[in-house]
Parts: sequence; C-alpha cells; structure tokens
Amino acid sequence: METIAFYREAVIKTYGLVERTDLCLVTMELPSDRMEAWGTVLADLTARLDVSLLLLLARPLPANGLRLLLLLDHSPSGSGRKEAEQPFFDEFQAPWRVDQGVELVYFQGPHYGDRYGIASAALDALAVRDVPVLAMACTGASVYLITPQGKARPAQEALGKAFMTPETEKPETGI
Amino acid sequence: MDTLIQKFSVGGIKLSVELVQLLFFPTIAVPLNEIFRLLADRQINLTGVSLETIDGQLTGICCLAAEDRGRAEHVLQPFEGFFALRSSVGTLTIFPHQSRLELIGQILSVLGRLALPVYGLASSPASLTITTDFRRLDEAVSAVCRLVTLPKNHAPFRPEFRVKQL
Repeated sequence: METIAFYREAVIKTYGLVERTDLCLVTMELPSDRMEAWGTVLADLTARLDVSLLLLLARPLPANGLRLLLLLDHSPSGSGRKEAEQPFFDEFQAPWRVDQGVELVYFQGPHYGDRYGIASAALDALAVRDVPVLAMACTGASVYLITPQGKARPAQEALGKAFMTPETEKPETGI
Repeated sequence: MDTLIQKFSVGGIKLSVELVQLLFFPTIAVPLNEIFRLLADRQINLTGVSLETIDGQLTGICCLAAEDRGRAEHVLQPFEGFFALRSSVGTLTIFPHQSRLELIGQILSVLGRLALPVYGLASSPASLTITTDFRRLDEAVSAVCRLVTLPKNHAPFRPEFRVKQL
C-alpha cells in the first residue's frame, strides 16, 4: 500500500532561530591508524577541560583520517580551564587549532532531513548578505551555522528574511 | 576482549538506506551554495551536510540517496575534478547521545580498533550520526552495541518508508 501526503510550504518554515555566543571551536586532524587512541583521549576531553559539547562534525581527510570540528561551551566554572587546552591538545601530536569567541546560529524545521533545498536556502541567505560562515552542519531536522565573533546576529537576521520563523511571519522571498 | 564495564544508555539506533557521499575539494571555483542550489533545483535532498570554510571557500561533505546519484552526477558534470563520489555508504544514528563526548570518543576508539571506516560524523543535541560502509553497517552496529544499552524490545531499525518532498 502506498500513502502519499502533500504538504505545501511557499516559504520554508522553522521553529525559530537560536543564537549562542562566546563558544570555542576546536579543529583537529586524526589519522585513521590512530583512531582508537584518539577516541580514548577525546573521551576525556569534556571532563578535563570542563566544557560541554554543542556540536561535532567530521569529514574524511584525503590521506586517510578525519578532520574533526568540535564546538564547545566552557562552563561558567570552567573559564579558567582555557590554559589547560594547549597541553591537552598537544597530547594528540597532530594538527589542532582552537578558535575562541565563535558564535552559533541553529534552527530546526519540519522534515528537514527529508527535504531538498534547506541547506541551499540557508547558505544562499547568508551569501546574499555577505555573512561569513566558519562551518555548517545539517543533521536530521537541524541546521547549524558556526560564524566568527559578532556574526551570529547578522546571520540570524539574514536567515529570518529567508525563512519563516514564529517571529517573522512574512519573510522576503526570492533570495 | 572488551574490558569496558559501564555502558551508556541510549534511546535507539537507526540505520539509513544506501547513500552516496559527495566530497567537495577546497579548490572548487564555484561557491558551494551555488552547487547546492543546482542540486536543490533538481529536487535532490542532501543529508549529513558537514562543511567548513578553508581559505575563504566552503568545502566538505554531504550524502544523497543512492537512487539520486545519476541526477546528481548530471548536475555536477561541469565541476568534474573538484569533487569525488564515494559509493555505497550508510549512516548509523544513535539517539539521544546527550552530547556525551565520552561516548563519541569511545565509539571512535572501538571503530578504530575494528578497522571500520568512518567517513563522517555529525552530532546534534538529539543524535549522533556516523557514516561508514553500507555493507558494514551491521558490524558497526555490533561495535556500538558493545558500548551502549538499548531499551528493552528495541532493535536497530532501518527505515520502512521514505518521506519525499515533491
């Protein structure tokens, strides 16, 4: 039995745009032959640095391995742990970088994971208004955009003009 | 032999249908938003998008349904040499993982120990998605199940129907 349902949406709806600031983006390159060891070290990261994980994304490296991006939030009590980052990441003995003060805008919407054009609409909205993006992840029904410091608000404004949110009932069309 | 004692409690594991992974090279001359728009114009859904800006250019990976491969290749023909396609990948999604990096680290560790390929990882507060060989998904599930406990009567499931935007 086949069931077909239609859902018409002239402008893409979201459940709302959320912004986070003062975050930490860690970029690391993990060679695949040391994945087991790296996984063990990663498992200790949140406890040793007193951070919480907001987002993780990874993609393959051309020469075997993973390029891993971790978006972390320092807990209020853990602000003094930033000094601990260097020795911690040095243990990886592989390239790593920490960018402090980055920002995040994220949103969810109905059936985003099953619909075409969501990532495209988000990137177009930011490109049209020259809002820079450090990284982007679309997973399930969620879209995450990591921006440099001070750019989450412009990103949110740009997305609010392209997507329908509970606050912006009539966004611009034709981005 | 596994020496792990404490397992992580999760709500479930979901497996994908067969997918194709698109890998964009940083050298691509056309902005990725334009390529994504071309794919959207052909109604090709992209899942598991993970992008990063390198030298001012967005680059990264995404997946699409294996059945969309032919249409995607047609769209991407003008950009030959600036992307690669990896056939027959699949995703394993654990939900919720509650942002536990400890769990993610241990998963990477066990997959590394078993030489199971990891072609991508993406998390949200609700889920963690691992991309691996489609033919080795069952092995990946077995590996992950060494680390997690599932609710009673839950078994990792494959989608029985697909939602498709017309």
